[in-house]
Amino acid sequence: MTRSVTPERAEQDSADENDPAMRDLSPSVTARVTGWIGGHMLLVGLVVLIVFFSLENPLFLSLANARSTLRQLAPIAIYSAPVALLLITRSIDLSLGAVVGLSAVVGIEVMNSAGLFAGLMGFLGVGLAAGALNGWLVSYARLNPIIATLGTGIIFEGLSLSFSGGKAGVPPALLLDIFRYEILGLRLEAFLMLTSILLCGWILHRSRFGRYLYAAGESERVAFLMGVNVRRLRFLMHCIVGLAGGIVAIVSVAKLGLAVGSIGSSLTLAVIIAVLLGGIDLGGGVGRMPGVVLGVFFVGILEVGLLIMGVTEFVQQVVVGTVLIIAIYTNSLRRKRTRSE
Amino acid sequence: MTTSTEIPAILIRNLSVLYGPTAALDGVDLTISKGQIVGLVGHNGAGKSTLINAITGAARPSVGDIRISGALVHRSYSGNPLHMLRQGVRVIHQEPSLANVLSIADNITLNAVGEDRPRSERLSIAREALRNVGSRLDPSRLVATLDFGDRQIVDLARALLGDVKVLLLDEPTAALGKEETDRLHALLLRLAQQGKAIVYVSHRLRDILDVCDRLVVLREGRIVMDRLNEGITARDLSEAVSPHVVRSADPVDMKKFRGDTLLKARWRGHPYAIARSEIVGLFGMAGGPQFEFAKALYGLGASKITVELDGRTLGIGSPAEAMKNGICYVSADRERESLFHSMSALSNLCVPWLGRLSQRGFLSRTAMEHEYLRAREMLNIIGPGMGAAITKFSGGNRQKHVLGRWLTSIDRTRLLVLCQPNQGVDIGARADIARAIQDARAAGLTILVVSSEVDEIAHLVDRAYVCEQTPWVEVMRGPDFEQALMQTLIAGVERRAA
Amino acid sequence: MNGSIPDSATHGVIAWRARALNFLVSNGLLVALVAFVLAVTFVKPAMLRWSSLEGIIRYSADIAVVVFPLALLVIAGSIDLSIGSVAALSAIVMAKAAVAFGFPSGIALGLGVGVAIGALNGALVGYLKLNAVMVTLGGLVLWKGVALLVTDAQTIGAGVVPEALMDLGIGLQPVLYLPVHFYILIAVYLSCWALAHKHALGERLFAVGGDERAAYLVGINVGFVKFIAHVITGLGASLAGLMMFVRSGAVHATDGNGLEFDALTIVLLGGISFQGGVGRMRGVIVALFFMIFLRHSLVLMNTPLYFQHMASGILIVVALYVDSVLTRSADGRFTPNPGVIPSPPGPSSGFVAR
Repeated sequence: MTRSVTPERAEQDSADENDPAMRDLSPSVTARVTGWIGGHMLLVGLVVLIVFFSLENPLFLSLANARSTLRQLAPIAIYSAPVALLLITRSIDLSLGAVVGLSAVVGIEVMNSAGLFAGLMGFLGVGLAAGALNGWLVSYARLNPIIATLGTGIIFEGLSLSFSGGKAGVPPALLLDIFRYEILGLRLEAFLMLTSILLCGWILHRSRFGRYLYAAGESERVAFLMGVNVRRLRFLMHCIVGLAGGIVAIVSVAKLGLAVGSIGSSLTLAVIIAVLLGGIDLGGGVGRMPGVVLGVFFVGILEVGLLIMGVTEFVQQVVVGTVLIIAIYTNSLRRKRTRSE
Repeated sequence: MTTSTEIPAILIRNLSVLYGPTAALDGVDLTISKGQIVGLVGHNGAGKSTLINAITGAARPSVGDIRISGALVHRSYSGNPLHMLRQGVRVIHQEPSLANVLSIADNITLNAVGEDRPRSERLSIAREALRNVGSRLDPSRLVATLDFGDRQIVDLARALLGDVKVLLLDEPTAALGKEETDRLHALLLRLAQQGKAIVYVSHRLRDILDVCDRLVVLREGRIVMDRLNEGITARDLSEAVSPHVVRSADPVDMKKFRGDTLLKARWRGHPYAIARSEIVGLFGMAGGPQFEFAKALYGLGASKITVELDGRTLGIGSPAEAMKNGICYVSADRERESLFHSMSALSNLCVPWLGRLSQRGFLSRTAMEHEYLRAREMLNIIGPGMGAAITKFSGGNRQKHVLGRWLTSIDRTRLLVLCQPNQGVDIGARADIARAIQDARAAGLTILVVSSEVDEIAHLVDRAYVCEQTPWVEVMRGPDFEQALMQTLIAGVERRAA
Repeated sequence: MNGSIPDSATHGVIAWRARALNFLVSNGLLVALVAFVLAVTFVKPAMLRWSSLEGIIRYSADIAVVVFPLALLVIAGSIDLSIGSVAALSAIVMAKAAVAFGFPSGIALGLGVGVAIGALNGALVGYLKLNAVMVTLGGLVLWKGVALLVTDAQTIGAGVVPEALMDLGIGLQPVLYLPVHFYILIAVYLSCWALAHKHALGERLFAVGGDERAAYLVGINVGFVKFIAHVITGLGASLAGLMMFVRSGAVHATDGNGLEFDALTIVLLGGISFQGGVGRMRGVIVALFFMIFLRHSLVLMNTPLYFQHMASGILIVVALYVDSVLTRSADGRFTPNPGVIPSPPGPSSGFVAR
């Protein structure tokens, strides 16, 4: 504690039960280990997960598997970075998967009729427009972000269905080739993933916008008084998330070789879980990018591991639901812990 | 401290700020020259914060205009603090507006000089700014780890960065000791000499008189005094802030009422006792320990408190437990902790007693109405009918509803803890409330009034504890009760700072 | 306490806006409903045939058993997004248990599932104070997965429901000329209405939803109130599952998909504020009929499937928007977006005027 405390006040403080100076006098080894585990639960969980899956199937630890895991991870990672930033500003987007689906369905049409570049613009444009709608509803119409984006998610799904008529679009071979091209053994999606994480990480931790984001998420009122335009900030973040959705759509279509409206359906929860596990608090203002990266790895490895184990998608659903609830629980535990410090 | 005839730093004309039906500010005219330190005093709810908010752009004026250094603040810019910041208007709020999640340097440079620079540069900018206000804190520390006094210093350092024309301070010394207060005052005098205009809002009349050139008193949203600080005493000032209200009860003959001991509690190692039918005050600085004690009595403390109530020892861990034992509580934060904004006046009144007012779970309309009518009569509630939303009642009448919850159930309540009961309550309502309290006491209720407003304490209680030191100092009611309280408080503050 | 009080007051945030909300919701929606009915019958007179009206009543009852309890839950400031999955799972358990233990036991066990899951949600949200949206969102996925797992995605339950009951379910056995669903609908509405507006628990629901901190400070057991509300909703969900089952005589794990969004839309349209503490049950019943009627007419007019799907989403956003506009503070005070989690009262997040 600081030293500007007067003697009497110091006396009073130490008379209180919660004197931190009294706490860590001489922890035993077990106390220290459990403390570290508690503080690094995600890392520990990740290791446990890897061990579990490798025991189930030794192939899990192969290089080929690592590569395919990375490929599986890419969409989630690309999406999670900006979504983490969005959550830090105390907003959320539950239409993530629907945006990807809509973007894919519209983008592929544009691509097949107007060429590759126009098609790419189409993908991105739809994502951006969707993000802008969400942003407007949340920031300017002041709607609750959860319900509003649940609603827009349904709307986007409907639009997808109407646009595609349920049929799948086929991407031009050029797109597939672009994404198969390897540099240093890594494909384009790996670079996109890296860019997304590094860019968002830079924004968050190294630029003044990152500081605005944290301030806006912690207390809208205080940020307002400090001159931060919170509404515009949130709106922009939603747009960026939408744009990322467009990119994810491109990546997913290239990976799948097909463009269907349901292409992003499992993404929403995967991204939210990754971000929550990574330490981002739903209440805003808390969380760092390295944690998010860990969260993404956790979810990606979980997905791949379950796939390798050959579990039915039903079991997957059970697992996803349970993990989400656990993620929320650890989230609230973390919040309680930081509050008591 | 020169008052110049140039363009005034702040020129406010006919300013009114309306929140719904209530006028937080009503036709305020104020001119502040460069290099002047103006002290702004008034009750809680008198409009001081609203005035500050209007000048800084955090609140939108409904009527009137504000000019900063001659430039009219366009209506579209009010409500835009960033613009006002750029105009050179800086404010230190009572609660420092800092992002706890970020470091000191991050906070100081947010939307200010040096924002785009790399971290090392921002750290040195922050270090310089801190040195300017006489602090040697490490700018890489997180604001969340600082105590209140240090956060205020960071707030100050941030506010003084860049081109500052106007500095507004809202209760800057509430949590400071004597040495820190003197340091702040020296800084303010220096800033005034540099030509900055300063508005100093405080409850501490002594501080105001120490450092301000001019004194402005606000009451119910209007300016009732605006004069130079020459030949004025603390008493005059205090009188202007809260003129003597007709006391609804004569000095109490304590022997008539004081019964046997109702409550015995220990706080910070010292025992205190309250007798039945007493009205006891706990007085101290804003945010002081008296509020912690009050919360603890109602089960809101960090840990369970053990008290002896009517001879029985018991522990209180939650409001429900406290209520079960007859201890009731009125929070100082009426809007956020006492009222149910979406419910009717009737519901607001009856909400603690739903079990009692229902038969087999189904609410008894007649019982509830009966309760309401009793409360209305007891407290002279004025406003729309019981079915109206509570938001339609004025602040004072809302408070009457809150008090009515407990005062109508005297048979179930043994001890009533009131925190700042007169906050945001108009003069007339205060008299009604004081009367109701006296009536309740005569019927056997014991009351604890917890406040940082000396006149509130002096008006309502038989005796008071001044909680600035441990053990608390008891002050009995007598002539010059207010003076005695203030003197004891100041003595305590000086003891701590020494 | 709203029994004999005129509409001009109570349970609204700002006086005249409360009046507007009340009027708009219970009367405006009614007006819209009537206008809509007239318009559709003009275009497609088949709408007014008894068979379609009767169908509307039956479908209304199916969803009503969970909509009114959900309204109570939203009033209390919480929410349940797993309703559809719970309904399907309950029906599945009913079907399986009925085969083993007989139909009545099957029903009991099925309802028990709803109550148990409701209790779980109630414990997590009410006592552990976890975020209701996320927890029940997880539940949505979790229970659907369990349902799929247990049935291996097959339709089950054929032949389980007794003939007589099935006839009732399809409406072949009217009681007093009305399908039994009508009575169920009225019964559920009346009991929820009585609970909300006439019972002490209802008043507590409003208090907890409106100002949780203040409710805690007057001795209300906030955790318990939310817990009970979740249990009631869980029971409602399993009742919905039962009704689906009896109507079609079979159940598949994906039955009830989207039930939660429909129910939530109705609740929001009915004037129950998502923030909690505001709303009246009679708005909900009007919204219910409106939604069902809208659905029916869309089907009757052969609108494409995607549009029907979208209508739900559009309605939710519109309902939210109306709700937000009407609960916005009338004064010039700064109103922060409540965000995902309402910010805890505290110095950094609020601004106490002195």
